[in-house]
Amino acid sequence: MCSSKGGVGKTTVAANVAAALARSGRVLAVDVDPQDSLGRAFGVVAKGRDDSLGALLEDGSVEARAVVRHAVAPGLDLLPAHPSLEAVATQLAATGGLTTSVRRALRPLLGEYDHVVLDTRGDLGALTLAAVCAADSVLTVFTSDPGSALGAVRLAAFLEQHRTYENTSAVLVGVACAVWDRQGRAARDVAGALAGTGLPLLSTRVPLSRRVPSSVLAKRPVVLSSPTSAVAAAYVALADEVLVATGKVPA
Amino acid sequence: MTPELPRHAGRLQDDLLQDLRAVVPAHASVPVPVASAPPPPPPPSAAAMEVRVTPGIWTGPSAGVSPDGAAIVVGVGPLQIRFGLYGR
Ligand SMILES: Nc1ncnc2c1ncn2[C@@H]1O[C@H](COP(=O)(O)OP(=O)(O)O)[C@@H](O)[C@H]1O
Ligand SMILES: [Mg+2]
Repeated sequence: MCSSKGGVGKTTVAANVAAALARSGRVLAVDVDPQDSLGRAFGVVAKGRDDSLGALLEDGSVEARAVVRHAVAPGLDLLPAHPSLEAVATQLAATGGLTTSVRRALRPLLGEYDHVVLDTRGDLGALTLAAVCAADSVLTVFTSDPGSALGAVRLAAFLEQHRTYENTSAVLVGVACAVWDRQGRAARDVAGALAGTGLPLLSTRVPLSRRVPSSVLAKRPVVLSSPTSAVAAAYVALADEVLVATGKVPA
Repeated sequence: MTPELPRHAGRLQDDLLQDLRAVVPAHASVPVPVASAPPPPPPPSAAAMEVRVTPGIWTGPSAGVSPDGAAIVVGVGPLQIRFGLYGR
């Protein structure tokens, strides 16, 4: 889950898509954002570097399973972030180990899960690249803000660039609307413009919903807290669409 | 001072598309590798109709495609009806 812009609904999509995927497989959700919002979406808060992703990035001998929080939701384990991740990343960048750090840290865990969902911060910096480097597929989102569409296109260019550098082979599986305001015209215009770029626009549009901010307070993504709501159905549909786009299930 | 007239939304979409195309990865024919499944067609809710009245301009009945190709425009007297598909 990536975008060059913050506040576009990435973490909310990551949390809900992870919860939706966990209905049919074993899922690990990984927070690669020092803001630690993905963990908080499930009520998980790390105390420091030692009980969060930073520990695994910094020290290859740390047992990954010991840092993972098990069963934070049905079928779902979580590897939380902590603000100290920022300093860990800076240090690793200085020694040249940052780009491959997330990939290395997750490798011992991969056999245990059907899906690993990584949330990143809203930038195309070195920590985000480390997450992309660990991923097979990248999903990005937009809102009715034209800047978010630019962000999606910039992400596509970023992926292209880092494929050239052989930092990643991740594929852009989709561009989804994470906050669809059906009353407003802007979202339609932004979607229309994105459709003209040839990027893989997904058909699922997550509606703007008051349930979403409430679910953060309740520390339960809407897919779990309001499973019959329209917005939960949209996240589930988005997860299905992503599975099809990644070739993990037939269309 | 005359305030700037708001530009038509279709124009805004074209403007944004232009901005986006300026950033889309260089190899437009081989864009960022995308998964094999083609993006599904936009849902029907993406279709829209817009009626505009142009006072004082009386023309005979006409029909055609808008300059940007994004809509079919049918004109009768002062009425202009635009059938657009945003999800193209
Ligand atoms: N579909 C939605 N409807 C209403 N609010 C949303 C929706 N998606 C996200 N939000 C809200 O928008 C804000 C930013 O979302 P977040 O997922 O944290 O974005 P990001 O991770 O891209 O910074 C949060 O306050 C979140 O609750
Ligand atoms: Mg976030």
